[in-house]
Amino acid sequence: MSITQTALVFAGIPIVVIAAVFALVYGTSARRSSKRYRPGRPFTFTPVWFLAAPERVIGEGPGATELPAAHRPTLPAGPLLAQAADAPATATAVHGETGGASDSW
Amino acid sequence: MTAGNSTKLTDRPGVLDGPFNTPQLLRLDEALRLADRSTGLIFSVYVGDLDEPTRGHAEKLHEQLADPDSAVIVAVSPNQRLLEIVTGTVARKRIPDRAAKLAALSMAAAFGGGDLAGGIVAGLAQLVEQAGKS
Repeated sequence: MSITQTALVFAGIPIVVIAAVFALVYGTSARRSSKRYRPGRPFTFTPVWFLAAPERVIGEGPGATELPAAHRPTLPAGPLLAQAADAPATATAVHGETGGASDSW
Repeated sequence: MTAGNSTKLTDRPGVLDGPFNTPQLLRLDEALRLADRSTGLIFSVYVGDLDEPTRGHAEKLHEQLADPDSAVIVAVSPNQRLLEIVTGTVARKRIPDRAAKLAALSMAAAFGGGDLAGGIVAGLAQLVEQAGKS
């Protein structure tokens, strides 16, 4: 084998293999990591809102805006409270009162 | 947008620009549908930035649901690293604030590890378990 052939076989081939591995690793991981959330790093995405039944969001469907006016007064807040054994008659759960929790990480 | 069939998903490519990939979206969809069906409450998940005050913004989102009294919304802001759970008047009787806090805690633990979808699914499961059957 001549000098150039030796160089090609023992240096050229390993370099090609290493380059191929690099391309595989960084080519795929760069694409994947853009989708991945890491706390503390900026994460760009379009906000999403999930519902099992999307038509339940007011304002999305045509005519949906009329729904609350027709819907809300019929909510039986009173009878539900009266059934609760430990609820005094004066305890009024104000309509629209919300509970829940907050947390951060 | 999570109506359960794949055609809906492809109809709205915007969903795929969101923080989740397709398997995660399917898991979320299933978790939400199961939550709604087994409890009779309306569960909703919002992932995106929340305006200050974040609690007020989450409550505003909650009000936009058709029946806010029996609705539960989980609002997650990955960039602000905070989450809000808002329960309506009826939902609050089934999911006390203390139980919501517990679910929020486990969700925050998962989010801290970078697992958004897993945290949401686990938190939903916890809320559903607390709410019990309808």
